Amino acid sequence: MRTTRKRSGLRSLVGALVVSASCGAAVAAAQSSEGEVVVYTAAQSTIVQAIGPLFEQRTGIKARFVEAGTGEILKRARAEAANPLGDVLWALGAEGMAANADLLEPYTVADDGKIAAIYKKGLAGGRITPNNVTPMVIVYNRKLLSEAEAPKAWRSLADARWKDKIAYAAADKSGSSYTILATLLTVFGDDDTGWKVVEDVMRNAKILPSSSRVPKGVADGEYQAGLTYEDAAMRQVKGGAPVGVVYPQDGTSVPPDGNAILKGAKHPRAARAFMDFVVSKEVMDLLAQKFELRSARTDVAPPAGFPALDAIKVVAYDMEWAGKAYPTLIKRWQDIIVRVK
Amino acid sequence: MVRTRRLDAWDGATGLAFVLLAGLLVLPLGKLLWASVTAEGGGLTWQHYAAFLGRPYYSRTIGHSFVVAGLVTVASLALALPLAWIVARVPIPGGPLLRTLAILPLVSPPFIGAYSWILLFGRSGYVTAAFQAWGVTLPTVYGMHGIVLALTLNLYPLAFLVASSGLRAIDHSLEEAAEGLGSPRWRVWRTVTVPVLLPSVLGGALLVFLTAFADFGAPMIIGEGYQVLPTVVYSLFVDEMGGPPAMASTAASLLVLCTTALLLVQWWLTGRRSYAMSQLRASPVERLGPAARRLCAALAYGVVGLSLVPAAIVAVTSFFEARGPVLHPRFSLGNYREILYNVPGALANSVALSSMSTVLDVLLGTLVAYLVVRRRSAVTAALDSAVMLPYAVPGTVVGIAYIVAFNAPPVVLTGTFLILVLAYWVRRLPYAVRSGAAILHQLDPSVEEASVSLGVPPLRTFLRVTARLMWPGIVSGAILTWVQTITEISATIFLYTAAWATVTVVIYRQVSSSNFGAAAAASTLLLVAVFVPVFLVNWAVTERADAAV
Repeated sequence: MRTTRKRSGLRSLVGALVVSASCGAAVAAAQSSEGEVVVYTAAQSTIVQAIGPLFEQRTGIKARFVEAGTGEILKRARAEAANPLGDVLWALGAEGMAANADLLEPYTVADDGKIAAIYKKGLAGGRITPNNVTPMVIVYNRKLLSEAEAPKAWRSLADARWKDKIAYAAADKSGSSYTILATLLTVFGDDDTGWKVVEDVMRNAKILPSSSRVPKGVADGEYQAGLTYEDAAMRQVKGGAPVGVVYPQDGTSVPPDGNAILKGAKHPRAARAFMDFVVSKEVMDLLAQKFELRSARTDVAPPAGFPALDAIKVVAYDMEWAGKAYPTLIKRWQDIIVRVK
Repeated sequence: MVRTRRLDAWDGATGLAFVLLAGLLVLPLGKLLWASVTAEGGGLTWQHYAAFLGRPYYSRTIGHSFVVAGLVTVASLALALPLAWIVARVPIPGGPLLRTLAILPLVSPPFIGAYSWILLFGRSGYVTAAFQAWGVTLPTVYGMHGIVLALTLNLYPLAFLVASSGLRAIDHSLEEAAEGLGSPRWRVWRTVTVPVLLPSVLGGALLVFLTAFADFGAPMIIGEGYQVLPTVVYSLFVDEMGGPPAMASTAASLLVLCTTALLLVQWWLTGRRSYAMSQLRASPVERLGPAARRLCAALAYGVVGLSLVPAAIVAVTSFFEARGPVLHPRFSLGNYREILYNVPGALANSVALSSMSTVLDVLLGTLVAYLVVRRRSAVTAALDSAVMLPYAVPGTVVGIAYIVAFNAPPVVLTGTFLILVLAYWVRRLPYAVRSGAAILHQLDPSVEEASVSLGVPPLRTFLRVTARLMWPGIVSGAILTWVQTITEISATIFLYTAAWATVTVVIYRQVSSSNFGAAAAASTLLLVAVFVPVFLVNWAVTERADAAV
């Protein structure tokens, strides 16, 4: 009953609410057995709707979901660190998770052996389990550009021909967009040459505030092409939008979304069960077949219409470097934006 | 004299208001804002401000914010004032309906509302394409003027509501007297109506300015790189990679400083003029010819219709067939089927939470309005500014601050619905206060003084006399508060729990997942859920007023 003491002075106004709050607290206490797990997730709502009931069916544990963007969830988890209210993080941008590794509890999932080793690098010493992976791609509007006209490589986007014609989400607002910036610097070098390419691309680009706007804007014909990630672009393709997807010839990165248990989780056993479940073959097959997500597992085929990974030129992308270099790269990127916009 | 008077119930109320604001606002936020003047190793410093202002990427957004908010305010007044006058004074068909429709733009969540303008006026928008077919190239809707367009049509109802409750509260005998003394109509307007209305107009203008100043939804969607202070604050706070914490606090503090400065200017402006009326005589209708009446009706419906375009587009697209993120213009109920499993529950949560906090807002807001207007002193001036602070603080910041403050003993509220109610209460308090204060400025204190001198205690006088005279302002304040609460997202996203997900959370997540069909369907249900009760209230209020005449 701590809650009533401090607010005793307000009783005349909020008395009724205090009573109901106490009831709420009692209910919460009654539910805090391991029959449930609280999942913080940035996964699409439709995926959450499909996986939640399936998990309960398989394990008898009720999964309660709090859905928000990666940044919002990590901020929330940090603010709650003294008294964590969530148990598991599911399908968050792995670089952001790695930057908040101190909030995470180490755990190795049951099927760890089935997860491709290349995706485990730079993931906070095994605290993060790769969930799905997604190459960075160029998306273009097929009504505005023929296949021959479409940009084939990152470097071609630096050409003045694309001035004001391409879309890019702000690197300080979108995790995937930061990955694209770091990928460009991996391809062209984190030096004056590489940054010259970045500056030329930014001069051409319209800077959008969120990553979901890029494929949508291209599909709607607002922009001829855009820099985005594979599954967002492919969902437009499958939905029947007039867009094409280009895997850049000069190489791209394939970073994972990750899962992890929060330190101090109130339902640790249920949390581990959830961690095992979401990367199980059953779930990953479902995600690939129904939701266009490329699995980090070696024994799950990519979604229909997605090229096999060996057909794509992949560069050696260093997640650890990308995480550490974040403040420096963002500052330099912002200075470029001021210069060219 | 004033100093030697005995303490009365109002001093108690002032104290209570301060305690509430301290507990719910100053303490939770103080810690965050404190970080902006604290050096890494401890000790006070201005280095974060110097760093922020020294980087054009950040500093230029301050100017952008003032330009956007200023233009939006002017444009909103230009729409709202004629509309308020027509709705209050000219008998046009469907008055209560019009008044309700005029509020709806406030309800369409900005992250989906502004998108409609892109659908129409974007580079491949329907209107743009139509004009292109005629050989006319329209200017782009993106950037500063796009933000101003979207925000104006979204926010003018704030000014409209405050101004129309002011108009309804004008004592018409003043105007009659002026006319009786031979003043021509235009002079009555200039010398009587306008000055008396000024506090309401300024109150509404302030709400519009501050809301526009603190909004990040429209700039995010339609700004295309034109950044304002709130978008910078948001991205600094919600930085996935953990970004520089002091920079985020500094940006938020600057936002608070700017708005506080504006509040002080406004307080000073309205305090110097005071027009009050002793009685309420409902304003009669204007005697206009049929042609002029028709013109007025066309104007009113034109303005309201234009501002409802985003809502209409959302409603229409909600019936389109969705394949993943792509909408195909074929009739389908698929979007509604998809959201059936969670939107009804979320809608019930939204209505319950916002109704609770609205009741609290009206109670406290009316009290505070009274203190601020009737008990002018340095203390209540401080209260006035303090109460408006939540307006200046972005919801993102409130949300994070509330977790930090209420997630550990002595007060644990996280994980309960109560933390949402309290956050809403504080965030939306300014609406109730401003509406109440605007109307009080128009009421002559002599009625209350008479009541008190007849021996009725101040608090009872307030309840029996003042509160009744304030009724139009209280109702419009309650509607505003409720409507603005039910659409709250930026604090909710940090504070909600699985059991208390609101409909805005559902919409926000569907938009982020690019499920635009489902988002449109959920938004449409939200619009309906708001329209029905607000219409009933407006209708009841009009009936009452008519019955009184």
